[in-house]
Amino acid sequence: MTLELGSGWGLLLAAALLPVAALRLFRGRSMPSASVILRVASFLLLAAALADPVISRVERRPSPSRVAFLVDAGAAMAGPCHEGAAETRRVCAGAWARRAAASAGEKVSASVFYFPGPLLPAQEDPPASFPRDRDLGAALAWLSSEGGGPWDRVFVLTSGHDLRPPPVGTCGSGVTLLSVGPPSAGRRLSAPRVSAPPFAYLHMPFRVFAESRLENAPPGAPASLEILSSDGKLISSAAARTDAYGVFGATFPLRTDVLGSAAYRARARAGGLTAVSGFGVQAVREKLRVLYLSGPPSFDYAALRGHLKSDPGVDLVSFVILRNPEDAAGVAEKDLSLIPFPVHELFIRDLRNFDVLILHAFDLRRFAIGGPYLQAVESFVAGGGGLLVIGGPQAFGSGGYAGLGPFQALLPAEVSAAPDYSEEAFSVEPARHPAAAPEAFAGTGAPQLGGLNLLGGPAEGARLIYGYRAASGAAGALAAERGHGKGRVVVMASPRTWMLKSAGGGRYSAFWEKMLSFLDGTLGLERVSLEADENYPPRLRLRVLGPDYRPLDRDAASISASVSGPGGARAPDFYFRGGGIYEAEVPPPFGGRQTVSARVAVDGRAAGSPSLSFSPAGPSSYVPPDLRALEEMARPRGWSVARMEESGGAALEKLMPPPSSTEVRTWSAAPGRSPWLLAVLMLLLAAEFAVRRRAGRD
Amino acid sequence: MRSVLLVAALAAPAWASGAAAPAGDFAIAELDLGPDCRLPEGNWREAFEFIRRNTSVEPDPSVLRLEPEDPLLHYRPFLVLSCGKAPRALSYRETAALRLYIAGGGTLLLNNSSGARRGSFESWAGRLAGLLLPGGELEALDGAHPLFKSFFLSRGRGGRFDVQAAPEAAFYAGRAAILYSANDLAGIWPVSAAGAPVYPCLPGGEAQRLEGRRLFLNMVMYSLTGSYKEDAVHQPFLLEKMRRLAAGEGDVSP
Repeated sequence: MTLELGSGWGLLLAAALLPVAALRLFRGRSMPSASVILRVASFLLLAAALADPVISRVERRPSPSRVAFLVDAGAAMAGPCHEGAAETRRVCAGAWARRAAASAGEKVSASVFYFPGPLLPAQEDPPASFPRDRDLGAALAWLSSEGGGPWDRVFVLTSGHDLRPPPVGTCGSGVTLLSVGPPSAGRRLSAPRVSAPPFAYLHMPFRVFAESRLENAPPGAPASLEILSSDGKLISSAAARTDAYGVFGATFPLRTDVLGSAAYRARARAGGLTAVSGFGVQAVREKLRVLYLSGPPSFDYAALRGHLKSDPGVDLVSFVILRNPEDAAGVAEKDLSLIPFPVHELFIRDLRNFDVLILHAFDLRRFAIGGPYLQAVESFVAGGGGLLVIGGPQAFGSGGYAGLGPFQALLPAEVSAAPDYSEEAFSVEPARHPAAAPEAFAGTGAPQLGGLNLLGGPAEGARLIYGYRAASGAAGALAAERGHGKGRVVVMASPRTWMLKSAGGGRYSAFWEKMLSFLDGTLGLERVSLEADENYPPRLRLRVLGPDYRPLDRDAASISASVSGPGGARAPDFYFRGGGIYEAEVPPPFGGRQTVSARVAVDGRAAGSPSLSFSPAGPSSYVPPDLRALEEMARPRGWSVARMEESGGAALEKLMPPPSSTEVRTWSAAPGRSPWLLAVLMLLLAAEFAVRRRAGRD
Repeated sequence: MRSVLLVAALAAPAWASGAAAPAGDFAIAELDLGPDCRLPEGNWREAFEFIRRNTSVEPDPSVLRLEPEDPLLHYRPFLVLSCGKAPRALSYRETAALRLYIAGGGTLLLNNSSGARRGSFESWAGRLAGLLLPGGELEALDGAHPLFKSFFLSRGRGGRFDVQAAPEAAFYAGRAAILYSANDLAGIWPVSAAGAPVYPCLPGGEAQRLEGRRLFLNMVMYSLTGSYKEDAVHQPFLLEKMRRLAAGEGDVSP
């Protein structure tokens, strides 16, 4: 039995003072002693009510421990749970956790969670896909934020592969890592783990480190590592030897010349075994590298060169043909400030170091007639470069481009075999194209352009950016574009865009900024593009641009997508990752060729419906758990490691936290709050009144 | 009296004939500020021939004479004003039009045909530079300026007179947008029907004329290529840097 006083200190003090006050009040007064007793009893009763005593009986009873089973739902858990098993490791682990939770009885309050879900760090149901990124720290933090008090023990069921643990010191020690699956008995070569930078600069080397492990291998065993392109072409290889733990690795310098994601594969060979894994690097541009080759100097060259030079994001190398061989200066070479045009170095050696090549009124027949030079231009574009060909009296039909087979085939507009340059005035008709800037030609201050190569319409597969209508009635493509390989080609028929600059009003900048952005790949044609990463676990990525062709800065797109293949149709769940990027894991099964189609709307308006087909890689055959990684993870954090298969029954009981007890109040009473107390008080006061009246007092 | 060419240009709408745009890679227009600042017909014929003979540039033989507010001014980014004495003052609208012309990439060559320093035209030219480029003033071009190596390696002297060691310039966005020559670079070009120079070059004779011609051609090439020759100095370093970076080596400095 316990007695507690429920009132605050103020009321308790008042309660203590009440009897004292009563004694002082009635001392020395002549009144019947019965009346005094009744009055003091009333005061005492009032004091007792103010003190609010609570009388209760408390017992200690055992309470169940709170235990959580966190099942790794990541990619490494998609493989079979042991050699030849049909069930995935995640299914095995989930089933084991539920059995363990059920068998723990009343002593344990157990819950099972999977981490990470596509949107939550942990969730009660297994996610539809097998996410590649798993953050154990985030899952533990989510768990501790759940209601119901602290967890006495957390069991993490995992294979230990590529698991991201929380920083040391940020989580408690009540965590047990349970490895799922039997450990390796013989030799096994792990898939190479690759440390690659998150992004690399275009045209510049970056280094990746690849490492693999041949289990149960003697030190010094020969091994090799290779880096392959996504289409299986060998890029680099290195010989290595295993160390005392069977680990071997190598560093590779790589380089990419294409903007965006570049996919690679790392292949390890050792002990007669081969293992492959994929990795990717985002290629970004440090600066736009422009090689600008111009025919004769002109106002147009001065304007465009000045525009490019004024952009701090552009590295410009330009050459202009100041003098042709037939021009006779009549002076000694020492009096001339001229250098030979390094055609061989530029076309054969240096071209691949640039992002954009501009040929401006350039007489190819004179300077680059050799097949290797034109072939180099074709290879440059096919490899991801941007080619801009600007017209002039020495270009297109007037420059004999129609006779330059491989070069002519690149051009996105029909080129006449006869001279086609005309000084006539023309009007510009912008097409619906992201590279078009209609505002450059609109308004009262728009200049009247004159001078262009009379190109025909867009070539097959090309798109019109601007059309022209000449004073003579001729019409065709003023600017057109076409993709070639990984690059783009744009033709601009007129060498007179400098007039836009003279006209002022930002027309010139508007025109060229869009054109160059399109050329270097920054400005895409489609507002929605879809990519698929075939490496396991397969992932989809949508790049969504707003109506202004800028990446969405908020989650404003609604996406309806479907993956269909031999396993039926599934709906991937896209989530916004910022910068116009939406990603989704591909739900299993993965076998065979899959087709993805998506419909994207931005702010309620259709933005695009991309689709693609790909063959996603499924989980490989059984891979033993990475016990070494688990032990390395557990040691500094004070965690323990055990094998799931050996942790059933009595073994699990040993791992469970000791039972705890809690105090339970079985009975209690608060007489100070009872209405009977008020009734007794009223009764005492009435009796005291009656005594006084009987004694003849007021 | 305006030239026949100018009349022809204005008689028909420019947009209909394409006459607004120059026909070649380069064209000259003369700024018309009155009869005291007009060059004789055909003054530039020999200059165009000199350009055509020596360079890959194909000049437009037509020369328009334009007032400051003429909309066609923007189609002729190389403008010459040649006077022997100060012309009339420019109105606010004319000054604003010329400011836009400079900002749009135009080059204005102020040519003093008097053969004297500190004359009225020179003072007028200095004031005009200050008006068109607020805060700017004409200053002698440094010998290392790319204008002196835009085609010929020029010393900066030359012309009908030899009163100025190097042309002066006022800058817009790093570009020598207003050029001032006191050596009369316009007066070296006229030739007689027999092909002889109309005006003698004093005191250096034909060698001085040739220097003047080279300097003028360098001005033309500078207006067409900007600081290209400065790039030419740095480009080998830039290319080498790209090669080394591509090879995985460290950076290089010019």
